[in-house]
Formats: sequence, C-alpha cells, structure tokens
Amino acid sequence: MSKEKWDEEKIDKTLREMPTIEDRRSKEEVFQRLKNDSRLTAGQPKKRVSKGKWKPTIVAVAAVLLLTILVPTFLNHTEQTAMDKTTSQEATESVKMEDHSTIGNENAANEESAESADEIMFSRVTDVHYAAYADSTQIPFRIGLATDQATIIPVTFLLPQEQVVRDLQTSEPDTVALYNAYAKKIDEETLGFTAYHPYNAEVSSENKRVVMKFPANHSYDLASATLEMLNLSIQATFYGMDEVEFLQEDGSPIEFDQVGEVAEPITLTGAAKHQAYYRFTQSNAEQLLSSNFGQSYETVEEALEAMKETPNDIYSSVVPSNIDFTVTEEQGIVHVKFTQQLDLDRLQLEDAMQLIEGILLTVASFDKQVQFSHIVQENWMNFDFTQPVKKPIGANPKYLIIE
Amino acid sequence: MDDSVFLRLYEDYNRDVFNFLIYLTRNRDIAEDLMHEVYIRVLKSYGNFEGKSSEKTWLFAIAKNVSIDYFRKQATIKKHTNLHFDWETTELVAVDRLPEQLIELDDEKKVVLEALHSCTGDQKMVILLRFFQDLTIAETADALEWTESKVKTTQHRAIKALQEKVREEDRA
Repeated sequence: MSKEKWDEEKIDKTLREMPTIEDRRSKEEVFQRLKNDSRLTAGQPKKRVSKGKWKPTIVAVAAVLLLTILVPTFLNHTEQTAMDKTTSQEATESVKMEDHSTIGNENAANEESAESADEIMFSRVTDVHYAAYADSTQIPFRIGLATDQATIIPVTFLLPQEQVVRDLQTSEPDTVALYNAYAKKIDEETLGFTAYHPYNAEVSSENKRVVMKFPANHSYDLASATLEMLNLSIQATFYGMDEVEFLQEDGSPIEFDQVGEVAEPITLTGAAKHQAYYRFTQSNAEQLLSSNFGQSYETVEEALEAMKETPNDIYSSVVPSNIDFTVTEEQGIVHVKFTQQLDLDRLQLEDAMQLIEGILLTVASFDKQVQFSHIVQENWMNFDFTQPVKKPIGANPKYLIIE
Repeated sequence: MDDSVFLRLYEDYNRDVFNFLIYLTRNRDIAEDLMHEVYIRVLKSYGNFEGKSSEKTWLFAIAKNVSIDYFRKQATIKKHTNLHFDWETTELVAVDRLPEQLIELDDEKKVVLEALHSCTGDQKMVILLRFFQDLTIAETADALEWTESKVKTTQHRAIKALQEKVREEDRA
C-alpha cells in the first residue's frame, strides 16, 4: 500500500464499507432478558449486588498534604459543628423501609433466580449509588475513612443483620460496639482508602458518651491537620452518640500538642450535620460524595445553594453548570424544582446519580425529605419522583466482606 | 413494559445500535450487555420522550452514555491514575477478542479499524456515527450533545489521525 493511496477519500470509503455486525440473538431472546429484569417491573426493588473489590491503590504519604491543606483548626471546627444533636436512632426510626413488593405478583419468587443472574451481570454497569437506604435486613455501620488527600469520607457499610446478631448477640448494637467489632476488619487500602482505622486508642462507651483513651505514643496531634482528621473521622463514625471524651490511657485528661488540654467532651453531630455534599475523586478514579471538610450551614436552602458551586480543588460540585434549581420548604418537605425539565437519561448515569443523591444527602443532613419536580422521568433507578423521595441513612454504601 | 414499544424499537434500531456498540467495545458479550442496558433506559423513560430530538438520535445518545458509563467503570476497575475519566480524550479500549467478522476483513479494512481503535473517544464516536451509521452532522451533534461545529472539527481531526496512523502502519 503506497503512501499516496491513503488519501481522505480512501479512508472515507474504507470506513463506509465496514460490514455490519449482526446481533445474533433472536428478538425473543432479547425481549425475554428484558422481561426478566426487575428494573422494568414497576415497584419491584432492585437488589444491590456487592461490587467487586477495588484493587489496592497506591497510598501516597499524606504528611506533606496534611500540613499544606488549609483546614479550620480543631477547636474552631468543634464549635462550628456542635449545634444539632439528633441521634441516628431517631433518624433510623423515622426512615421506614419502603415496601416495593407488588401485590399479587405470585411469580416473583420464580423470577428471582433469572433476575439475580442478570443483575449480577449488570451490577458492574448499573450498580451506582452514593447513598444508602434503610433495609430491615441490614445494619448500617457508618465510618469516616481517610484518603490519600488527607480528607475524611463518610462510608456506610451495610452489614447483614444476621451476621451482626451472630457476632454481637444483639440486633441493636450501639456504634461503639459496631466500631470495635468491625473497624479492624475493613481492608481500607483495597477499598481505595489509606490505612487509618482502628484508632490507636481504646474506644468504649458510657451511655451516649464515647470514651477514647489514647496511649502516649499516639500521633494524632502531630499537626493541626491530623487533629482535624481525627475530629472529622469521629464525627462521621460515632452515629447515635452525643459526645466523645478524649483521655489518656490512665483516664486522666489528655493534652494535644496543637490545642492544649482537651477538658470538655466534644459534641457529636450525628445525622443532622447540616452539610452540603460534593463530589470527591479518589486517586483510583472512584467518585464518592462528601461534605466540604465538614462545613455546616444554617439552613437547608443555604446548603443546597452552596452545592451549586465547586468549593475548592478537593471537592467539586455535583450540579452540572447548565442545570439549576430552586428550593422551597413546605411542612418539612424540601421542594427542589429544576428550572428546566431535567432528563436524567441525557446525563451520564454516575453524574445523574451524584446529582440526585447529593441533594438527598444534603437534605437528609437537615433530617428532611426531598420532593423533586421538573424531572422528565417519573420513575428512575428505583426512585419514585412523584412523591417525596426516601431519605438516605448514610453516604457511599459499601459491602464489608466478613469471613 | 409496553411490548409493542419494544418490538417497534427492536425492528427499527436494534441492528444499528448493536452495530455501534460492538464496534465500540469489540466484544460481543459486552455489546449484548450494553444493548440490554440501552433498552432498559429507553423503556423506562419512553413515556417521557419529548421528541425534541429524533428517536434515532435519542437512542444513540443513550447508547453513547451507557458505553461511557461502562468504559469509565472499566477505567476505575483498572485503576487508571487519571483523576477524572474524560472520555473525549481517552482511548476507549476494550480489546478482548475481535468479533469473528472482523477477523475475516481484508487487510485494508483491518488496518483502518486498528487505527480507529487507537483514536480518542470523541474521534471514535464521531467516526462510528458519521461513517458506520450514516448519521448527518446535525444528527451526530444531537446524539453526542455537541454543537455541529464540534462534530465537523472532531471528524476532520479523526480522519487526519486515521490517515497518519494507517500511513505509519504502512511504513512499519
């Protein structure tokens, strides 16, 4: 083939002459597979399937980052966030699991096996969620995991209830019991985070107070940023508890290098953190939702407005620049109305899900529910937009594989 | 699910959309999975289709989004180091094994096809829609959610890139 031969005309012609590759499946086969997919059967829940484990990421040494990232000081932050004490118990109780089962669908069980096979196959394409929802068969274990960018990301592990009952002999363990049982079992690096848990401290609880006793060799007060990470991680971890007390190993008050003696217990904000959620991108490209270093807002309107802007280099807005919405509140329901008809299928799935669940998480952090309007789809990925959407119980759901 | 809607969509578009997906992914199983996913999204939102674009470009737009979601997921799983998956500048690589029809192609077509697969995502999509699917500039712009001038520029760059790549191949 000579050089001259490949002129534009020749390329054009060769491209146009490429053969059509046929779909070998019959129409019936394609149709049957669709009929077996629960996503097309109105009202049926889509079972979440465990995602494959992320391969270990390169864990960068965060020390330099820790010192350079601008974060509010430990004490300032504590004062900022010590505003609302709503326990997660309250939040959990108020979220009733929606009953999706279709009355009279007697074939549900028979269809189950065909569905699950298909759903496993598609989990890699479609199982995109950034928020967890109440499920009576699962117990949420929330924890703040550390990233190599010296940030804390809230993650919700959904533990099978029967497993928890087997391990802890109760179906209602407090978060400290969950932490002590499972934090050490999380393979943080495989999940794309840096090794941070369990804390280098003895963690116990007295009623609604978490007590953390640090050995002399702990390094949490190395810099104001490491202390800030400790604060953010305990805020994201000990749901349902009112406060946390830092002590030395012998029970005497502890002194941190950066702030001096910590005399007062730190207030935990629980579910009502009053935060806006943004996109965080891990070094392995996985995207997660998080607040902006725990920043809180007075009102839900302010938080939703703040979501529209990218706050810094670490977190970015989940609201695309060409999409806008207005916010009103009536009788405890937050109405989010898109200014133009929003067609979620015109967005890439992950972007659409981040937009919807980012709004849901932001509003849930004010312990409220959202009613969307001006969305083209009435039903989308198991959300029913004709009524207030179920309130999430945590961010970034993951499955903890316990041997 | 409205059976008649599926049957009509299948008759009208299955061949073209499947062809687009298999050239994009070069894997029959994945193309079948993605085709299924396209139907799911189309059927779920069919009642709300507003007809602002043609049905055909709407389907291709969904097929494009479904594919990009797939490639992004693959990139995440393979732990690419780039922080943001930008499909327009990334090669959409999914080479497992070539569908059998492509193995039987003549040498010239094979060379062009190989060159196409080393093009960036935006170039590959434009070529597939313009030359394999015979979409017009306006239809391609609609399916990719681009302006017409972006389609023209990208197509021009894609042809240039292909030309260079096949010439390089010849020299080799």
